[in-house]
Amino acid sequence: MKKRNLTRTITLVSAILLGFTAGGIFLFFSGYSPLRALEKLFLGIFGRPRYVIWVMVRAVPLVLTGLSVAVAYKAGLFNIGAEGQFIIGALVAALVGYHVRLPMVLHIPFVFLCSMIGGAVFGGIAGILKARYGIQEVISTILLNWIALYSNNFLLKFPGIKRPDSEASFQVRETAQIDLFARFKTSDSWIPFQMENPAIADALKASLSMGVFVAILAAIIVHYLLKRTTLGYQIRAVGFNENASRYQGIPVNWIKSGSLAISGALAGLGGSLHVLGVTKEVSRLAIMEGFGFDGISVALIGASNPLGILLSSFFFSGIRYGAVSVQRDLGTPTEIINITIGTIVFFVAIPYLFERIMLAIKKRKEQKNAN
Amino acid sequence: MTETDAVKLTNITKRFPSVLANDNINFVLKKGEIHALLGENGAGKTTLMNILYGLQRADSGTIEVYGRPVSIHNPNDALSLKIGMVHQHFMLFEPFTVIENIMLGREIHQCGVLDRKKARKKVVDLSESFGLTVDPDSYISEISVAMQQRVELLRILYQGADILILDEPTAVLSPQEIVEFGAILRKLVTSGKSVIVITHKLKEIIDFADRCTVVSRGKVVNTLSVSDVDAHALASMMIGHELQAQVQSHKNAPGPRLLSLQNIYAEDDRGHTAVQGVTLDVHAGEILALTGVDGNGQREIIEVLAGVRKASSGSILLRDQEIQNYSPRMLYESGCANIPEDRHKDGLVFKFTVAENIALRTYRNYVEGPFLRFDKMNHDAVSLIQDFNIYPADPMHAVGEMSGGNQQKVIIARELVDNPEFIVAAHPTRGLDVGAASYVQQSLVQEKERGAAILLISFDLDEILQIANRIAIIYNGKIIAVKSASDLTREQLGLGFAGIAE
Ligand SMILES: Nc1ncnc2c1ncn2[C@@H]1O[C@H](COP(=O)(O)OP(=O)(O)OP(=O)(O)O)[C@@H](O)[C@H]1O
Ligand SMILES: [Mg+2]
Repeated sequence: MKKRNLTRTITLVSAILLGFTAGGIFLFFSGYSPLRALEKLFLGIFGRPRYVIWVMVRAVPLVLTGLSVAVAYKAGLFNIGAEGQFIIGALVAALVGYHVRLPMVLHIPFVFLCSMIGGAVFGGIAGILKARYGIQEVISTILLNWIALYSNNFLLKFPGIKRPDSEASFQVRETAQIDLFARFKTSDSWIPFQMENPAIADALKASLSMGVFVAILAAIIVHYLLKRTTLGYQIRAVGFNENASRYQGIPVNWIKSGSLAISGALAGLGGSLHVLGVTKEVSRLAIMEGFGFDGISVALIGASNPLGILLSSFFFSGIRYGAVSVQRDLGTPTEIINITIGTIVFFVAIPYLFERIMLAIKKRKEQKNAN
Repeated sequence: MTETDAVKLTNITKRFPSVLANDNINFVLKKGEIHALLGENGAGKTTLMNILYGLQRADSGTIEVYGRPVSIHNPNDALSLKIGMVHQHFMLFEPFTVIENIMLGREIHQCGVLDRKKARKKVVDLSESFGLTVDPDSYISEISVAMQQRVELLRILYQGADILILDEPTAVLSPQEIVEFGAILRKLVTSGKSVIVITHKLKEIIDFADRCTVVSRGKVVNTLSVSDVDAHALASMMIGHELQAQVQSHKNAPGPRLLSLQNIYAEDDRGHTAVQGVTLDVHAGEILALTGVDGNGQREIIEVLAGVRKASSGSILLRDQEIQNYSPRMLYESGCANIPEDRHKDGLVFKFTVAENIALRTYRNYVEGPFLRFDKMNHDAVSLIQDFNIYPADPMHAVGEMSGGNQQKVIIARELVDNPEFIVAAHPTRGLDVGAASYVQQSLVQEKERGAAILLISFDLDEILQIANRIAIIYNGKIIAVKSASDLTREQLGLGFAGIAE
């Protein structure tokens, strides 16, 4: 067990190095200094306290979609639909955040709950299609992503939902917003505070929200769910050996649908946190935003382990955020940054996939020889 | 070291995180001999052979093949040294034909095009010279397990193996097939091949091996010539003390009918009607053995009784109550236990611990709110581990990393733990060493005497004759005879296997 973790860490580190090298080569041949780019990237992430906070804030949706993919994966399912579940969660959050009036202590949890239910329904549909009719979840969740996207765009045509003269919904009410220190930053005491505590004040300039804490809490809960609860035991049993689980009387179909519903709820919560903490509204989407797809990479890099997902989301969000500095300061074209990020993800993900495949082959061999 | 040694293993040591699987093992396979390797479950036999075949690396020790020191890193290295291995679980590709399976990886090409003719001729020649008769054009999914085994053997011969390693080859064979298998092995060695056979059946060793090596807890106890020993001596050498008396089975009078199969029809995976109107009653307090050559509908009956396959017609009564549409869980709750045939596929979750596997059926007992009490689960597993002598004796050990026999014990422990009323036991002692096998048989007898009804699916004649009250013979999906065990002889059973019931 220990040894396997060690090899995994080594693979991961060397993959990241390889990824950066490849990105550097791309930059070099386009006439930029890779070393300066790396320096800028690093400074863009850790250069100021507020950058770090920003990276954390931007990691929030990825943590949730990553957890979403991981839970399904533990049950042996591949949830490509975190994207759509995220969109639904966001849409629900925008609607409930504006149209429902409640005091803050109730409003925020109520929005979370509704978004999670929305996501869960969306994930659950794929689960039921799989359990009942044997329809591959990979296919159905991809299709559901489009349904989510177009439902979002369709609903945003209606007056009452659409804010007049805009392409977006109404902004959620203040009782549903989860930024921290927003009031403080507009108050009179802000200016003297800034003078006295420049570092803290700098950090607070990033719009830190409750989302960061909710995401960490969600990771902890998922960890306990999988490790300690009855449901987690069932999910893992089904994921490891569906046949034996069925034979021993575990309700395999229920567990599969259920895990996709939980998966959807997590992605839906991600959408909710994003709206209440960052955007405050949802807009017409021309294309998918990619939070759910990034969740797949995040889960892969984080080995479907909640703690690993926290780290990999930070990493992911970090290179995305730091890249903005690189772009601004060196004038590198966006494409190069995207290629670089893509290459890193590729090199990080491929060895992991490769390792999994090798492990599966080896395991199969060993199982066959167990006698 | 002389020219006559095919393989010489010297001081082989292999340590797994929790056990020393091979501890300074010395082993010599002479050229042209059949060498049996025996030892208790978990003694390290498979590990040793995996090392010779390149599937695992020894921590230390040397391997010599025909007098030459070699290092074997993978099965390809082994094959180039003319070493071939047949695993207990076959590795054949079902949608392919016999000949395609044999050719796989060693295709004969003619400018990039498969030369089937040449390959076919080679296969036919091989099968004729060793009596390995198979139809080269049948699909693997259509031939019996015994035939599949021949295909595996042909495959390694085709690849040019001179040193053959066979891991528990006879476990899946019926008695008649075992006799034929012995004859094939003889032919192989007379043509200059050398064979290592792992087996738990002492009688077979006496029947067809030349020498045997006994290992125990990773160490070699002795290597001796088979003509010098009898089964009894071998057994006590293996387990380190005298084998207990034979399983005691009182032929008690059975009670009322507990389970009844009435005119059951069922299809196999390919949609053929594999079970054709089976009617059987199993009474409380009896062991009914269902026997016959593998592939005559036994698997489908087992699965119907486990609730994972629907019968196409007929009814199943448990205490006169229809249970045909029960789910596995409902069956378990109404007191049915099921020891499946394929422990890898249906029996165990390899990545789970022993305790988690034992709890697959009973985990609801450990529920506390949303949580599962893993500590209690482990605690309860400890006593079962002791009762069933499961090794390593650690509830947290991953089942996938245990020896085959110990995996089987985990299943049996799980199924017998809460006094089931009706037990389907499919090959319950397959892969178990003599001591463990007799313990399991004794447990089944105890269950029976407690009043359980047991349907034993087996083709181990000694086992059947020793513990069954009645014997039903299945052939082509039909029951062709049901007799009291005391009225049947081995010969009659043999005929029954061939579909002849007088
Ligand atoms: N991959 C593995 N990882 C860890 N331990 C292992 C592994 N494979 C085998 N072992 C351990 O090594 C020991 C020897 O196992 P091995 O499979 O060689 O036994 P065996 O003699 O073939 O037994 P059986 O008759 O039950 O098949 C056992 O204690 C087993 O638990
Ligand atoms: Mg073995």
